[in-house]
Amino acid sequence: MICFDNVSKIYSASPGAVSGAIVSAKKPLRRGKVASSGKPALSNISFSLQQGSFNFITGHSGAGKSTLLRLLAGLERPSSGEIYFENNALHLLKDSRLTGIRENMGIVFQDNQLLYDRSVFDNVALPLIISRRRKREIIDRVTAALKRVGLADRADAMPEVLSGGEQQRVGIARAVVNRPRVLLADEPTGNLDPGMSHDILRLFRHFNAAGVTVIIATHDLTLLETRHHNRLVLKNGQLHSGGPVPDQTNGQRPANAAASTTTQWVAEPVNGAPDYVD
Amino acid sequence: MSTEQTSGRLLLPRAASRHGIWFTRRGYALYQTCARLLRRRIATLLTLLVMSLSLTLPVMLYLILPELTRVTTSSTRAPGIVAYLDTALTDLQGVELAERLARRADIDAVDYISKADALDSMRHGPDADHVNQTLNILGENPLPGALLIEPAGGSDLSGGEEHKRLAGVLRETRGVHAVELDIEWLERLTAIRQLLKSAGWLFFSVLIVASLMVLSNTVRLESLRHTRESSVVHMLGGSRSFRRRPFLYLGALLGALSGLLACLFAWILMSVLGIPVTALANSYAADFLMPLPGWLDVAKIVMVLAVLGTVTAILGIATTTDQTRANVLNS
Repeated sequence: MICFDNVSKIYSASPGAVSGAIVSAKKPLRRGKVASSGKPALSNISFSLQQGSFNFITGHSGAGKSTLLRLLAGLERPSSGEIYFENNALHLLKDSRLTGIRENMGIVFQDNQLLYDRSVFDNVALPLIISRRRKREIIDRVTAALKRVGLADRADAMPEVLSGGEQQRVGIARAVVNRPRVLLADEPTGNLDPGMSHDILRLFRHFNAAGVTVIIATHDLTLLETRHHNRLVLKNGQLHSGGPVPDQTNGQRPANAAASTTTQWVAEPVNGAPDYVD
Repeated sequence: MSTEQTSGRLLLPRAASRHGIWFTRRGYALYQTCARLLRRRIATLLTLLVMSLSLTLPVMLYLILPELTRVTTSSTRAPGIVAYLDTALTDLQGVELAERLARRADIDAVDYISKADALDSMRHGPDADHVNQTLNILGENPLPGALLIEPAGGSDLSGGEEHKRLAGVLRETRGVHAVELDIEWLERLTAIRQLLKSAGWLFFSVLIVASLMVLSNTVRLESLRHTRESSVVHMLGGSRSFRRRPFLYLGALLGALSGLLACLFAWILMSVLGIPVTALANSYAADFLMPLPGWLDVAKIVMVLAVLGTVTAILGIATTTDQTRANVLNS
């Protein structure tokens, strides 16, 4: 379903990168993200993920977790290598096609990225409006998504009156409302206490049980202790987990993908047990 | 709450209907744009006032210039040539000369004014008493007969040189004592009209450009203010056109609303100025009537400004797309 083939990402001090740094002057660029000296944020990453799997990407801060997610979401292009999502070569697609592909992905952010000038309902409805859904369908799906995350009664509230955990649940409702095949989450529990973190994780398990592939980037190791999952460990931009498992892509890698001479990794199953179903 | 799994997709259960919200993409963008304008009422009002006041003069010029041109053109009598005949010429000779000249190709019409008619006209003129006293002293009619000649081409000043040449020919004609070409005042009037027209278009252009620059800057600032929102929409799969649409609508709305307000201001000003301007024109025997903006004029102005507003908005946010992208990369 998802295949990274020898993917590297190197940020250069290009004019775009410089202007980005100026625009986000308040937010310092992350370590490993911009390396004017040419230090790669990701280096020769190869792995494949199966549909319906539950995956964690872990690693220290600056290890390349967020970069990997952005590459997967098509928000960035790899410097080298190939990325496939359901037979679509993301590294080759034009931006206009990528936006269409992105409709099949739900993205949850650490800071939830809600729009504070509109209601919870309108925030959750946004992906459906983008993907040209009809009004009735939008109403039905948003209502259902809000029920699923336990916020049906807060549909008309503005995000700023919600707690951190509720805001994150709104973010999750927005991510799943378009029935994505993949749910990407970048430090979704980073700003939450342990109780709320596990509530959020339980939601991800719900969606995974319905067949959605879940990929969570986190450095919160407590999330990994009690659940069955696959795990990718990044260290200094390199895959550093389990050990090489050659040529075990289980047919998920598209036939048209170029055969890589590098070692193939698959997400390493932890405990090997079936995914948790609430 | 139950879930179903079909083809790897999450099927959310259907829910009861919710009160209506107009959720087509364009309707949504328009709704968002209006909401933003209303959310910042004071700023919106000030922007609209600046733009509409700048546009008021161009709107007035747009309405007045055609009327001014019509009045100056219609009230302009044809440049005539007056040929004063020798006093020795009899009326019969004067009529013969008039008939002969009227057959010329470069002359449209010739009117003969006899000595008696000229004297009669003077006796009934505004200074009749003084004229009568003078004539009583002279004892006889001192006035010459005259020919009022209308050159071919009417009031078309492009033939000014031909009129001068015709006047030269008349001066050489036997029986003609003096020739007066009545064209200089018309040339001055035309020059003034051209000056007004050019100045009008200049003001028109400068003020329109100034208004559009205000609009462009407003849309650009609004776009920068919503960079985060654009980034989020981008990450959720929103296309570039989807992200730009609210700002284009903002440009169109600001343009249309400022045009509407400018028409209102122009209507007020022109109503106030209408009476004194008409009185002034009447004193010059012109039938100038201050034109007030009609519905068709308003519709034209609003539509043109909406289109200009959209184009200006496109230019205003042309560079902010990169910043949205940069924000995405740094989010």
